[in-house]
Amino acid sequence: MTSAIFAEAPYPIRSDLDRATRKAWDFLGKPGSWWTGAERAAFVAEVRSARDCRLCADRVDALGPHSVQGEHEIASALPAVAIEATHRLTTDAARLSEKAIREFNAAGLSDEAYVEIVSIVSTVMGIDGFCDALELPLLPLPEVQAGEPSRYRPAEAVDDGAWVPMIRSDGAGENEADLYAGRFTPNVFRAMSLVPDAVRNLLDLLGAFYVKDVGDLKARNSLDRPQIELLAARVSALNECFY
Amino acid sequence: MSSRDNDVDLEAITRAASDEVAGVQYGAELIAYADAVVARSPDVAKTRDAVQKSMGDDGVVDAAGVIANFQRMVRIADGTGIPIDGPLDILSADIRHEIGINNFSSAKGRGKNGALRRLAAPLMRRFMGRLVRLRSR
Repeated sequence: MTSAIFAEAPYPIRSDLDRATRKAWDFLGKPGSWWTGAERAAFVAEVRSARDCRLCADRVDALGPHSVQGEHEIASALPAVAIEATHRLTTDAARLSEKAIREFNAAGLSDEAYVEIVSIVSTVMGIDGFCDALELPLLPLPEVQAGEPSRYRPAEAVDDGAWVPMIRSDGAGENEADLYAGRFTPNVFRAMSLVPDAVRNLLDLLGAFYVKDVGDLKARNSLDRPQIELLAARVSALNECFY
Repeated sequence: MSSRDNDVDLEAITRAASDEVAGVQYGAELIAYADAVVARSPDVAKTRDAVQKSMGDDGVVDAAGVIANFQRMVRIADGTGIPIDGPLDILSADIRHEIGINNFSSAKGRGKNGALRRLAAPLMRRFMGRLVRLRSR
């Protein structure tokens, strides 16, 4: 039996939350669809570096992200465009634009590889954010597993109004039949469907950190739904997230 | 007492500081905690203690989980440029305008928010509310 990932926490952590976090963290060290396990673990280090990157901090304070020039404080040997995307997603996601994504494409970062970076950055920000909130030490970098990326791209992913292709709510093929599974599928759940495992990881953590079913108004025992949604909306507003 | 008994003060979502949030029990404590965590401020411990005193250990852990979850979701939404879901786009047009969400950098070029939509939104919400009640009978 594996020990709890948050065994040292000063508050009792629900076992489902502990298990989901361990699964998501282990997933970060495994080969993904477009990046190896070693590269994915390197992204974890890069997110943490971005949070204290001087260039990123100066850019956040500037009128536009390109009005300040300099070098990122980097923690990996990842390609420069992947580092730029990681730092932007971590520290200034609200000012990303379709033009920025097309510039990433032109610099050699495919939509598929970019969406996997979105998945990694968002997972790290969630789990590190949980540690920050309880002032727990950050988890050590995920254990790297050998292997090659699957390079799997669902044929059903199409332009559906976002900056990257997505699988439509009623358009999942046989391989992705589990993704939406009759659930209400808001766009934020479909956003990463170009990399289906990213959506599976998103939903696994969602049930443990937020609510098991977004349509369930009973929510959790300790927080009622207005309290949950107030927190959700406040964090979104602090990050200047329009969605 | 449950928060569900009251109308919720939506302006608290974007207000700079909140003494209390009408309609949400311990809303001010929760907002202060979220603000401290997102800013990685030295006030995290103090604000967390305030939530713990009001809501207990489970309340702290669940609040931390929701904050963490939305540190994640905002990056997915802003990183992929998804549009607001169709019905929500119409139903929330006036609210997004009133509480300033349309001024966010990430709002540029995403979603329509003309005066007509803002006028129609409360009427649509009333109609949708009646429809939901009828369907649930």
